[in-house]
Amino acid sequence: MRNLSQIRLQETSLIEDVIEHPLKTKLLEMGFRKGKTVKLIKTAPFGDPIIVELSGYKLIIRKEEAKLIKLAS
Amino acid sequence: MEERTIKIALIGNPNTGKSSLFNQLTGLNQKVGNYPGITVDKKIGYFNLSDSIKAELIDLPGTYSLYPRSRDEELVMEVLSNPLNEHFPDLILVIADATNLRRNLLVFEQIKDLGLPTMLIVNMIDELEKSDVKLDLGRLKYDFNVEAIATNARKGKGINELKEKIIEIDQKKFVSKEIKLPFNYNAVWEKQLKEILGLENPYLAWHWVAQPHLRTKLTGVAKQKAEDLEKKFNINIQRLISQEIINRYNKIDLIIDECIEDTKQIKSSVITDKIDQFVLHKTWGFFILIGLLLVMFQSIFSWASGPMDLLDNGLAIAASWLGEVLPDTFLANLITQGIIPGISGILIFIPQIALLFLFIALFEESGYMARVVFLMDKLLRPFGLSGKSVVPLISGYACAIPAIMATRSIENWRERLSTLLVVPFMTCSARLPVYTILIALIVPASVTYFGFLSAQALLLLFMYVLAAATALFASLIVSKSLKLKEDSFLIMELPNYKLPRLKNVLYTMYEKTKSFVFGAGKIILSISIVIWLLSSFGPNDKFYNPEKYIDFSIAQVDETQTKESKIESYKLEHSFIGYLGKAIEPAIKPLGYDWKIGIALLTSFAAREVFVGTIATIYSIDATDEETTTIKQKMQNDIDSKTGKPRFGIATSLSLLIFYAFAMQCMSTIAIVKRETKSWAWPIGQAVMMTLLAYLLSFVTYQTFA
Repeated sequence: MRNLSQIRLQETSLIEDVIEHPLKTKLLEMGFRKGKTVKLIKTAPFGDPIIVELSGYKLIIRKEEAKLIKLAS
Repeated sequence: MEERTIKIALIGNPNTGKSSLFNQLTGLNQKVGNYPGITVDKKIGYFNLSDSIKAELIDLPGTYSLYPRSRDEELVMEVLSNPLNEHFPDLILVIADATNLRRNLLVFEQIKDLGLPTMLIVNMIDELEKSDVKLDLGRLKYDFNVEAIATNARKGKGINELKEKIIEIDQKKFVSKEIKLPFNYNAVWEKQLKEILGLENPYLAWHWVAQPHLRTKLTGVAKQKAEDLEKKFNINIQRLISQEIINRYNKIDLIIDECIEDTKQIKSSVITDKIDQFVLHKTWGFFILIGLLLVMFQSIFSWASGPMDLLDNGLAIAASWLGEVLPDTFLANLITQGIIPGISGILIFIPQIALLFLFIALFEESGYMARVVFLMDKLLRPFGLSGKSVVPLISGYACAIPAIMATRSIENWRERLSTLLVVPFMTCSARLPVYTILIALIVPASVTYFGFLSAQALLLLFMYVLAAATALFASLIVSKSLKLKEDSFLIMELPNYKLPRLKNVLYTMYEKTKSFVFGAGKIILSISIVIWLLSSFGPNDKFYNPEKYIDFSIAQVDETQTKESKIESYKLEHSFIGYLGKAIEPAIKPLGYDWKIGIALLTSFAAREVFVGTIATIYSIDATDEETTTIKQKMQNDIDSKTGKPRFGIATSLSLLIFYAFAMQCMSTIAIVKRETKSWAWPIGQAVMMTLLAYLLSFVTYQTFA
């Protein structure tokens, strides 16, 4: 199963789940919820962090944190 | 009618226009303080609701949820959970961004369950209207069972209506509805939890056990009982919080689907996307960043120098005028030589602080700061720094004082601490006069490479590069050795670009300047008075009657040495600080320094550039002739009587150069670090470590080149 750090540029995907982790609640609060769509807008010049679009707003997130977000296949 | 004050708390997500609203409501009638023990700005403002009702408004740190991730966010519940807190509100205003209602309403739903009178402000309503999306505010109010209004805080729209509504809510007899915990739970557990904590509201009781920082404040008995209860009912706090967030979002989704006309999507800002094509571009992005940092650096480095000279000269004139008018008493001298220079040493930083915060406010207000983080995060993270560290570090090349104040914008305490501890390594402008003289002693101006690259310029450039490398390396060590619990992560909003509001920018500049003058000022003033006392008094008669002891007949024939300058030099040598300089000679000898340099090291602890003035006094250079070239010649001609070699040979000069690069040597930095960390341990530890490092490296340098 893929996670958000593996998404391709401009690709839109559905969020499956956030895996158990101390940051899970933070990610949920920021809107990474099951069934929401997420889109990769941009990758930083050195490959990390990334900008994703989520229900009408953009978030900067490190790949390390993006790994916690599972995408639907 | 009796006058009374309603306490109001303002809370909401970051980037919702919270500070605009705060400024609109309170105007200049606000003050910035600190919460006890920590260094988060506490913004309190006052305004009138009617002739008899006043409002005290506290601006709580921006947060996405009541579950904190940083020290700033912990404050929200510290204020809201405790009726004994001096800012415990009578009314909570939750501000939400109209274009992001779902996420913004999460914290609103949590706040509502705290059981206090709560009102919702749907801000940036104009943005929503621009996208032709209609919000049914009446329905929203009904479904959430809350008083709500729509505002445009930047334009001041809806502010009067807001004030009226506040009075209205205040007059209603508020009855808190029955609150249910937002997740599946066992009713027996809930009942017992409420009993243990003595709280009626189960959601509030839950926060007291779910939030570690609140939990530590419970009494030992209560803590133990809560723990037993969790074991008995198999409570997994993290899982319940996740459940809460999902449940709340589900409810919000259901309501918002009804309240917002869904036919049209909220448009993402076209202008923002266009600007970001350049600003976040993998090459242009860095050019733009470097360009902006250069403008910022240039402004604090050179634009500030005009007003700084004006302040400096103005106070010097005032001091010398007072010196002539007042009788020659201790008190008069204390004022003219201790206090006025001390005040001048505080005021001198104002232009730099104001200018730096002009830029920082522009970066933050426009939304550019988030882009800086995006571009720099990967580069700075390996050193334990945040993407936001780049602004303070570059500012450090001009002056450490505003740079350290600028670290406030770094939310993560560990990254902030690393940044502010290493900023003083950056080559600030106060080092330049010292470097200029020492570099001139090390390499002659005539040496050039390829016909145009001057060796002096190269050495100076090397010092700048060395500073940056040291700062990064030191930060790596600091962040590795500091065992701080705050974990590093980056999940932040990328806001749309906004035109900065002049009012908000000016408020920031004013606030920062004020907080420096009153926060760090008294420490700077006290140290400068101590240094004045040490150099204005001596332990014996030699200081007070130097004419009796100086043998003027053997005075060298030198036009730069007048009788007065010889006396000044002799007095400095026999003052307390002079004797101290001699006393430390054994310690600094391995670095290649004698007592004269020792005195200069001690006096320049006030500020690095004082080194030049002290050296001038020691070599009895007439005060009117404080030219760098004269000082340089004097130093060059000084022969060590024991070795017969020049005292300022290459080894000693290099060693001094290294010492000034690494040592703290700045009382104002110590004062501001004390203020920013709320503890003496950090600035003292920092000064000691830097001085030790300077000592060690100067030792190695001297021993290598001697």
